[in-house]
Amino acid sequence: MILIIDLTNPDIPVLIDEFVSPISRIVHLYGQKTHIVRIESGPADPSCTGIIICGTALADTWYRSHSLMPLLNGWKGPIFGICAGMQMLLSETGGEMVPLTEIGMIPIRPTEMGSKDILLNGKDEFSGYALHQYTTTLSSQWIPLAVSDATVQVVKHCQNPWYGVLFHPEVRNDWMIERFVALALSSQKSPDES
Amino acid sequence: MRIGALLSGGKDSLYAAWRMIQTGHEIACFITIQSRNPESYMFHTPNIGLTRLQAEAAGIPLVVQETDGLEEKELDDLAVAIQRSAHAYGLQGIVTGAIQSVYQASRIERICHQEHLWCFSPLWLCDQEQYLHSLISDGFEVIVAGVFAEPLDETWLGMSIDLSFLERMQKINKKYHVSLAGEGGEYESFVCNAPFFTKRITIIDAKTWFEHGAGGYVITQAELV
Repeated sequence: MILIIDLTNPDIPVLIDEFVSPISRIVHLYGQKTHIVRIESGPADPSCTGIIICGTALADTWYRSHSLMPLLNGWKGPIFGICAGMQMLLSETGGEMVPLTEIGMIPIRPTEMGSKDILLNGKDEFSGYALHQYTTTLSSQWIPLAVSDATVQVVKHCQNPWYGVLFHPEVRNDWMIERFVALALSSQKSPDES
Repeated sequence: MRIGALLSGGKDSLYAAWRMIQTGHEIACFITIQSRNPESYMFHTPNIGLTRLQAEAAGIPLVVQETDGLEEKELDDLAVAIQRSAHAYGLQGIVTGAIQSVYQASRIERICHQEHLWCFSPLWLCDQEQYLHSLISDGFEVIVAGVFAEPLDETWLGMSIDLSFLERMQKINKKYHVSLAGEGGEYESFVCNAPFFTKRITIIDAKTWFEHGAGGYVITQAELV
């Protein structure tokens, strides 16, 4: 089961249709069950195989006043942070959010490290759908796997199987979600085992 | 939140507006872009002139902006319409019926960002079969107003979008990969009734045309009942 974290503004539930449900559908397409929780809910279910943190609307900054860490609660298994989800992962591990707006399809180029990683292996430059007002600086815990002209677009944590993707892979790049789900299944470690 | 709904007259724009109403928002106005260019990249749909009847049926004001429909220039006209509507009706956001079109969605997102408005696309990447089921079960009365892809032909024009339509589309989808919701422009639709309408549109007269694999159902006379 993949745990899906919803960090949209709770006062605007229609955002779930646009930013959470599509991710859940893609995971189901790849044969995995999902469980959707809000960011404010308690610690993550340790029996899940991986965690996907969804993005939200361009105008939604509600997530910026919240923290992921109580939910993650020491989780060291696979995480895939999308857009605002990546911003939160990075900013809560030593990075800093910086205003940067990108809207629409942009070219994404894997770095040398990225082209060797399981998430991007075999991919040359491709287009990704960007919809964000912020990017995040990288602490030394993170490695850039792909970049756009303006900023880092895909990152990986140095120690844990944690990924961040600033653009929205659910749009035309659902293969990334498929690869993450496969990675999560292959690791299948609970926090106690890792 | 006070929302302006982009209205083409088709099912997606009106269902997206309905989804906003269902989740507690107010549709303060509809915004229709009327293109003089039948090849418009974003705004040409059959029967666009009848959005005034839909707005009247819903009791919601309509803002109409004309455009020459030239690529990218028509976006300036959309921006003007959104800006004008935002000021006139105190809008906080815009809702679109975009399902998969990155071209459409990203351009509207940019305009909303410039105008400090929220942008909502509740049908974005939806399960199209589930969406059509919801459309039918929620009480929308919709007809096929144009066909633009094989194997859709003139026999589809004016057809109601109901369970038998969905069944036929599913068969075609398996064989030809035609989008169930017509998101790729395979067909266009027109909404005669919606759960938030207080009156329904009755079609009194219509003309159909079909040539070179494309056709339209042009409503020439209609009234609210």
